[in-house]
Amino acid sequence: MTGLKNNLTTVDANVLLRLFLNDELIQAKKATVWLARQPASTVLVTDSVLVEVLFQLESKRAYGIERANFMPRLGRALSATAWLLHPVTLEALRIFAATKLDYVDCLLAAMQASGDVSAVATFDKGLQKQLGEAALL
Amino acid sequence: MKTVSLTSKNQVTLPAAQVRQAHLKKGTKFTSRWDGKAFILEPEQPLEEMLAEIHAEMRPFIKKPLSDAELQAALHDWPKK
Repeated sequence: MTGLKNNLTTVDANVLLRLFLNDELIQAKKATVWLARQPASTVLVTDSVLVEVLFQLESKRAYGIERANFMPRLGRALSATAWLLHPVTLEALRIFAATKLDYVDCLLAAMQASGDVSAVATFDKGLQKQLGEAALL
Repeated sequence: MKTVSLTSKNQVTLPAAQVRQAHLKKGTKFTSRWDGKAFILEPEQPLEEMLAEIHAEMRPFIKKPLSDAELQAALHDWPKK
């Protein structure tokens, strides 16, 4: 984790889910009070945690919520000042909200859109469509 | 419209009447942006208030709240659909 500031904290998927859904009141309250105390841009939201969160929100084995019903609100929740999201993550979330791609594919598309990579080698038809000419194979 | 001055520390004082009109409290934080013509200061919504609104909006979509054990199991179980 070199290159990260040591005053950053990060958050696990269970905390993010409780904060967002409030389906377990004690944990949600505890998480809210904690987050409210964090200075601006000091709580890193990692892509690996977002993979879990987005999967559980959509999974029928967990919450089973339609993407269109949670994404605008999740985006708003992630606009709280304490969160710190990488620009590629923000672009991946934008793609996730606008498509049916899973979040990992959205991350690859966001890396390409942000210029981090010029192309993506993939057999995934949905991702190929998103990437256009930047899709290889 | 009121005229305010910029200090050497890049500070301006908001007109008291406008602060009262907007019901702003001491300690209110703002997001600031320059749109090329004007500075726009938007008061930030307190976190608790914003989350309460989101929770109310999300409630109809939560068919079954997950207990701590259920959530942990789901998180450790994934990615089974």
